Amino acid sequence: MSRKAIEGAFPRLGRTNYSLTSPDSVEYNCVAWAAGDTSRFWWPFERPLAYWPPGVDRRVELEAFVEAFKSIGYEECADGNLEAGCEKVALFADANGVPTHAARQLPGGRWTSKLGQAEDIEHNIYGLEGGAYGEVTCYVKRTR
Amino acid sequence: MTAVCVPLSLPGAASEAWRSSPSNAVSTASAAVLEQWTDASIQFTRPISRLSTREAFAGLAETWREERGFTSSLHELVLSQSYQQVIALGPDVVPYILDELRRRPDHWFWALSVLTGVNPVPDDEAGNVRAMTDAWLQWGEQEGLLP
Repeated sequence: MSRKAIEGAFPRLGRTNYSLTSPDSVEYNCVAWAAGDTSRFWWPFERPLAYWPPGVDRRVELEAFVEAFKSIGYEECADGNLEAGCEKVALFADANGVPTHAARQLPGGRWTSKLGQAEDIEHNIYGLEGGAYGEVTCYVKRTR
Repeated sequence: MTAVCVPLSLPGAASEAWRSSPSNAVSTASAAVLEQWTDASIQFTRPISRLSTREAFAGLAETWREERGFTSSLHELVLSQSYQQVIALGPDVVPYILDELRRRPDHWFWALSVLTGVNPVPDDEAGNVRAMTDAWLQWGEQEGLLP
């Protein structure tokens, strides 16, 4: 996708510092990328059309997404502030509370996101909010 | 020779019923003409069918890729209008989806599963686009659906 298309969907990105960090790919999505998996497409869809952690409800609801990350060692936390030794994930939802996106915090405090089937970007959280993914509604963290 | 007045506006099933009525019996040649005319009539009255299945699929696939934006939701991807229109093309589109999958892997697996009633992807390959693509292409070859 072009930067123009990206900034059209996420208007705040154009006013912040962000960079494209990968080519586009349909092989993984934002949830997979946040979970550190670039080999599978994670979504609570019927098996085997998408991967979803075993035992976690296949519902497009925030609770199911939190449970998915808990299944790989995360726990809920209060905010996205940088904490030494911790890796955090921000879960985005639309105005109806439907999960739309997951972003992973990098060691320096910035965030990395896979934009659907398009590229990965490095960004700050504010830059990705207020656009196609809505707002961050929950943070989870685990020890790096 | 008796002239036979064929009702031109009858759709396929009705036309078949009309022809099968003893009082409307027609010669073999007339039946062939009627069948061709009926096919042409159906083709004309369904705008999408003016395109070949290959052309219709190519256009819809391009629209699907352009319109999906930045969503990661598989639900949104497969419930989009263009994706649903691909499914509405019916089983004839399966070879073209498989050919597209071979050239450009993408999330056509749900459409293939709906259209064929099978799912050749092993559970332990769930979500692995490369493995799912390989499984469907292997199935397509076994079924003789790949050019």
